[in-house]
Formats: sequence, C-alpha cells, structure tokens
Amino acid sequence: MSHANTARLPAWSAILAALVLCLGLSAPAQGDDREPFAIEDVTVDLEDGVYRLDARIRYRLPDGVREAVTNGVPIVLEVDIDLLRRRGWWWDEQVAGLLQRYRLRYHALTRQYTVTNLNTEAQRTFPTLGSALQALGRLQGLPAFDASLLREGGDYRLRMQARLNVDELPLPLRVRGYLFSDWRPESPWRTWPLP
Amino acid sequence: MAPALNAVSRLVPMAGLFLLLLASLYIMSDATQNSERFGELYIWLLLVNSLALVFLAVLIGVNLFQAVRQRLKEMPGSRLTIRLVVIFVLLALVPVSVVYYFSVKFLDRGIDSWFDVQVEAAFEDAIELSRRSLDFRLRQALSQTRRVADRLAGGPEQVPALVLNDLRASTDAVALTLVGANNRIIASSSEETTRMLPSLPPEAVRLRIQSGKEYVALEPRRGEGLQVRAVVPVPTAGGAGDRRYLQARFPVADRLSDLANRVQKGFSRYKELVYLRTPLKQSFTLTLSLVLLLSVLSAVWAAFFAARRLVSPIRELAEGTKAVAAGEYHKKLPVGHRDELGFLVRSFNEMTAKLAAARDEADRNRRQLERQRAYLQTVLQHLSSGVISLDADLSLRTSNVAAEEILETDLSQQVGRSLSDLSAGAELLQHFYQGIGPLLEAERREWQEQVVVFGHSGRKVLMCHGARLPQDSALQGGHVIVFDDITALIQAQRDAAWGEVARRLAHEIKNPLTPIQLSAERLRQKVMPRLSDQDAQVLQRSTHTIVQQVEAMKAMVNAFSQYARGPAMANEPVALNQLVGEVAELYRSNQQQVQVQSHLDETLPPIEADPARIRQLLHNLITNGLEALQGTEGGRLDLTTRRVTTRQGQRAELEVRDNGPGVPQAMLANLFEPYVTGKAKGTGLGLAIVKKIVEEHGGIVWAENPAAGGARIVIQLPAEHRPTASKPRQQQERP
Repeated sequence: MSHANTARLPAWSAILAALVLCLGLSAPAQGDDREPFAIEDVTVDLEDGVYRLDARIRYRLPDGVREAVTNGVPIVLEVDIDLLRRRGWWWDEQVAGLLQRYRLRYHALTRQYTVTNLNTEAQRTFPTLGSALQALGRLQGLPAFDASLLREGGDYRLRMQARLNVDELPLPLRVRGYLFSDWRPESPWRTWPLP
Repeated sequence: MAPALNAVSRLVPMAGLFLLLLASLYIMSDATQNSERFGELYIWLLLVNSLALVFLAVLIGVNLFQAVRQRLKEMPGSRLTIRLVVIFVLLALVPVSVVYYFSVKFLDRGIDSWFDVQVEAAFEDAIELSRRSLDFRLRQALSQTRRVADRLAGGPEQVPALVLNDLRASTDAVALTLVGANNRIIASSSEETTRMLPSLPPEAVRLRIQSGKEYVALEPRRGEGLQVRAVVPVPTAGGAGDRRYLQARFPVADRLSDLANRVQKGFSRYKELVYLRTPLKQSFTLTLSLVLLLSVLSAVWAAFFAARRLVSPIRELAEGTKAVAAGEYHKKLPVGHRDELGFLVRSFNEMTAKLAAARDEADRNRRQLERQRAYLQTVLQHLSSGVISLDADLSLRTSNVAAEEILETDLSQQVGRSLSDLSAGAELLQHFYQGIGPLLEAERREWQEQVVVFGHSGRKVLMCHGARLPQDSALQGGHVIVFDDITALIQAQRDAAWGEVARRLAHEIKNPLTPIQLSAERLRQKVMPRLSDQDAQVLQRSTHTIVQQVEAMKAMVNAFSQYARGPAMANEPVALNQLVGEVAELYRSNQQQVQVQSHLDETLPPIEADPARIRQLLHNLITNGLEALQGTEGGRLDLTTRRVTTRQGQRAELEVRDNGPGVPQAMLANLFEPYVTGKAKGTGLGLAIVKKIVEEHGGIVWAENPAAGGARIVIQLPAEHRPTASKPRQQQERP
C-alpha cells in the first residue's frame, strides 16, 4: 500500500529531500519549540518481518491555519516516512517511502472535528481541535516497511517529516501557502538508524 | 528592406509571448473562479507569469539602460526616443491605472456583496434548528444507554457478549460496547458484522467519563449520515478504582439525517466562503495586478519598440547630416519607408549627391587654380626681374628668388614685416625704400622709377615698376613691385656712348691736327728765311705754339681714346690713406693759396684697387675742388678718410670738402655726367672720370651741399676682403 507512493514523488524530490536531510542532520536532534510541527519520539520494532513504528508528533497549528479549520476549511496533514540506504560517496538511495495522509475537518452541525485517514478512509471524531491533533500525533504500531526490502549489510535509515499539504488547500489559500511559511507548517526531517 | 525584416523578426516573438501570457492569465483568472478545472495549474501559471514579467522587466531594463546610455553619449535620436517612450508609457499607464483602480474597487465590493448578514443569521438559525430537532434523539439515546448501564451496574466485571446482545435488542442502538480498565473491551454487540473493532471514544471523552460524567453527542458518520454516540460510566460492584463505561451508538433517522446533513453542508460551504473571502479577493487582485503589470510592461516594451522604429530613420538622417558636416558627401542612407520620413531620406540622398558633385567641381577648380598658381610661382621664381608684393600696410607678402638676389636679403624669412622695418636693418633696402617709398604712398596706379642702391657688390641701379593691386584682390590695395638690376645695362650703354663719343672726337679732331702741324712747320720752313729776324722770331714762336698746342691736343685726343678703350685694371691691395697723403702733398703749395689738408683715419681698411686710377681720381677731385675755390678768399680743401661699417661689410670713405659757393642746385643731379661743368675752362670730364673709376671699383659716389656751406663729394669703396667686389665691372670692360 505504501510503496505506491514512491512513484508519485518525482525523482528530484528525493534529491531535495536528501538535501533537506543533510541540512536537518546538522540541526538539533530534538524538536525545536518554535517549529509548528515536531516529531518528538520514534521507536521502530521488527515484528514478524515488518518494521512497526511508534511515534509522537506534536502538531501546533499556526493561527491562520487554525482559523481556517474552525471556519470549515478542510486541511490535509501528511506524515512522510522514507527508508534510505546510505551510500558513502553519493546521495542516499530511497528504498521505500510511506505517506500517511489525514484530513482534518470541522463539522459545524455536530461541533465535532473529524479526522479521516485518507489511506484507509477510517474516520474518527473529536469534540475539540486539541484532542483531534493529539490523536493525530500518536502513531502506534504503524506497519511501515517489509524487512524483505532490506539487503544484508546495507546501512539503512528511516527519516520522517510531518507537514501540511498546501496543494490540498482551497485555491485562494494555496497562494498564501506557497508564499508564506506560516501557511506551510512542517516539521524538520528526523532520521533514525534502523535497529 | 533589411530593417523592416529585422523589426518583424523581433516583433513576432514578442507578440507570441504576449499572446501566451494573455492566455495564461485567462486560464489563471478562470482557475481563481473555478478551482476544479485549472486549480492544479494555478500556481504554475502564477510562477510562469511572474517569470515572464521578470523577463519583460529585464528586457525593458536593458532597453532603458541603452536609451539612457545613448542619451548620455548625446547620440543622435536618443532624446527623441526617450521623449516618445515617456509619452507612450504615460498614454498606456494612465488609462490602465484607472481601469485597475476601479476594477479592484468593484472586485472588493462585488465579492463583499455576495455575503449578507441576514443570510448568515439564517444559516446559523438553520443549524441551531437542526441541532434542536436532533436534541430529542440525543436525550432518548442517553436515557436508553443509561438504562442498559443501570442493568449492568453492580454486576460482575465480565459480561458475556450475549447479555449485551440481549440488552441491545431492548434499545434501538446499533452498537453497544462495554469497556473496562485500560480501554480493554469487555464485551461488544453490533449490528454491523463487518466491523472488527469498535471505535472507542476519544481520550477527552474518556477523561470526562472517568470523572463520573456522561457523554452524548451527535457525530458525523463515515460517509454521509449522522449517528449518536452516548457514553456512560458503569460502576462495578468492586470499587471506584475499576472504572467501566458503556458506549452506545444510535442511528439517526435517514430523512432527518439527510436534512441535517444538507443544512450542514450549506452552512459549512457558506462559512468557508465567508472565511475565504479575503484570500479570494487577494487572489483576484493578484491576478488583476499581473494583468496590469503585463499590460504596462508590454506597453513599455512596445513603446521602446515603436520609438526605436520611429526614430531610427531620424537617427540615420542625423548621422548622415553629421557625416555631411564632416565632409563625407558620398554617404547614402537606406530608404526603408514609404512615408514622409522615406521622402525626407530620399531628399537627403539627393542633396548629398548634389553636394558631392559641387564639392568635386570645386575641387577640380581648386586644383586647376593651384596648378596655375604653381605655374606662376615657377615663372616668377625663374624670372630675372625681382618681384615683391606688399599689402596695404606696406608689409612684405611675397617675393621671388631674383628679388632676394637683387636686394641681397633673405626676404622669404621676412614675410609679414613692413618695408620700413626691413629697411631699418639694411642699407640697400633703406636706399630702396627711400627711392620707392614716396611713390608707394602717392597712391598712384602705376609708376616707374630708377633707384640707386649700394649693396655688397657696390652701386646698383634698379629700374622699378610699381602697380597698385585692386581693392578686391587678396592683398586689398597692396602693391606689386617689379624691379631689374640695370646697373650693368646703364654702364654698358654709357660706356658704349662715351666710347663712341671719344672715338669720333678723336677721329674728327685727330684728322685735321696732322695737316695743321705739317702746315705750320712748312710755313716756318718756307717763310722764315724771307723774313727779318724780328718777324722770323715771331713766326718761330707762333709756329712753335701751333705745333705745341697740336701736340697738346693730340695728347688730349689720346686721353679720350684711353677713356673709350678703358685699359685693363691692375688691382692690388691699396692703402687709401697713403695715396691721399701723397697726392695732397703735391697740391700743398698752389697758386690760389688754398689750404689743402688731409685728415686720415688710421683704422681705414685696405681696398682692392688700381693705384694709378685712384691717383687720377684724387688728382681730378683736388683739381675740381681747387677750381671750385677760384675767387674764394681763404679757401680750404679738406680730404677726410673714414672707416664705415655697414651690414654689407667694411668700406673706406673719402670725403672731399671745400668751403666754396657749393654746387648749383640745377647741376647737382647730373654733376657726374661728362661735360657738366660750372667752370670757364676744363674738359668737363674730370668728375665723369671720377665716377667711372669709382664704379669700376664697385664703389659709390655722390655730391651734396652741406648745410654749413661749401660742397662735398663722398666716395665709398668696398674694403679689400670683398672677393668679387669688382668682378661684374671687369666683365663689362671692353677689350
């Protein structure tokens, strides 16, 4: 299910991502409080030949985005997980990628916030925006990659980023999303070696 | 046609770019309104258009830079280009700005007018109404859930699913779930068999339940419909620490759900639109601004293009005019237009062609004139006559080689100096100026004058012809003077004349002398014996006198012959002082009691002369002086020698001065001609021979009556070191 997403990404985005990764490595490892989104804790376990991922992501929506959500504008949040193989002398190779997408929307009649996992179409409702974001930020036992993708002796790493997908915003807001970083909240990439 | 083609080749891509931009702007404006069709493209279009605008701006910047640089370099046409561009830009900018301003205003107002407070309130009311109408269902669901919970309360912790199924059947819930500590599901009952795990309430709800409160809420169901979720705590018999809760999900009637959903959808859409109003306006304004910028920048570029195109023939004309001003008449301008500018260019070409023809003609004429001038110059330079021209202020303008030789001055170095200036330095020129100056100032059209000058090679007689130049000539009323050195000619003429006179005189006189002498002797021989002694003595004396006088006459005739023949000169260095002293001594005692005194300058240079002739010259001068003093009481004759230094060199001067009555004015001019004498006796040849001797020695002689009285004759002879002093004279000597 998840590997199909790698095809969607153009080749240059991998290079760009690697570049961002290189920059990200030099940044402090722990999430900066000033960042709108931050990946706070990640653990990866190998269970039955599948790497499963537990992660905590802090989502703090900028005021403008929060206002848009409360006014009924749906937003799409993405968690991008890549499996990289390091090559000593060249860009890291992206072995596989997983993109988890969630749509957050306010339901005015019921005064509930609904979160839809766009990968599975599973929907949950929350009475407050805070509880919805909290639930979004908790990934438990997410099956990320098959161990069969990994070859023996390779130096593999996982990296992860949470972000708001600007392209899914309504058109008038999209322009803002491209022009102002406040409308394009994203976490720094975080990278972990695979156990 | 090349410039036109070039212009088209530049215009076509620009027009293409403009059309593309227009199309992309159209799509963009469409995308702003209808996000389904071009929504994906919008951001790319924005980027492309912005890049195109940057490209246009750079293009215009380059154009502007070029225009300003050309303006600073004062290139022709640059001023006009800038002025045209400014006019075009203003013409484009003003209306576009007005339209832009009002468009933005209308956009603002237009979008605001979509929204209405009443509509918003109606939507709020509709939502509230929907909630109220569903409130009953919520209360019903809660009470049913509560009832089930009461049935379970106080019971054992584990409840079999079957019990729960039974309980669910007693309600209209679609799902019942009993959850224990740590969110462990104790039992679950659901109508939907497909669902593996029931969805648990969110953490916020669980916290609320754990504090003993109940929760009931309407929730959107997956897909379209609504459901009610009710959660109530289910206390166990055990104690407070072990919190169980029951979650029940109830359906909402389809019709009600549909209606409520529609209200929700409408409201939600409206809310979103209200919220998106500002960004939407911004997007519209952005698109509009891009359109404005594109229009303005295209207009500016078009302004540059049009201005260039308009100005290029004018610039070519200006450059052509400059070229013509610089003398480049063969420049042809390309005729690219069929309008008035093209006509102007054609006229310009015709004009330059005519100018070139005229210039060539003038060139030919000038060359011809130059050839003539060179020819005249050559003729003048090789003329034996001296030619000089003077301007109206009597300053020297031109001269030829012969003039320099005759006047013995390098006249070519003295061009521009006035004749009086020139004459101040050189005696020859001074004589020349004195001779012709009055004639020049007399303003006569033509004149002729013989001028005597004294130069290196002695006395020269110049025959001068003068003419005034016309006022409109280059020298504006100056003079041209042509002169010939006729000294030799005159000398030759005189020599010839005097030779002839002397020869004939000698011939005529000599012929009868011999018969006279023979007759007298014969008379004495024949008559003497017949006469008395007394008569014989008389006859003897008379015939003796006749014979003597005939002898004297023969001597005189011989002297004439000598004058005519002019025996060769025997020149040697001579000390004039010594000769003067010797000859003066001879006359110291004379019958007239005249005091003859000599005053000799010891520094007198030696002269190259024939001493016999100089002696004769001195005898003649003293004799002439003594004769002039006849009848003068206490007569004095002073012979003075002097060294004279002139620019031409050293000269020896001899002055013979008496205190007699002076030379009569009428005679002064031709005193030195033969047979000019104021005295009763004398041959009249004395001073003529003096002059002849002086001239033979290259000297000069003149006579004057000094103010103090008496007369004086001055002779100047060139000093010895003049190597060719008397050469020309010798050549003219007759053999």
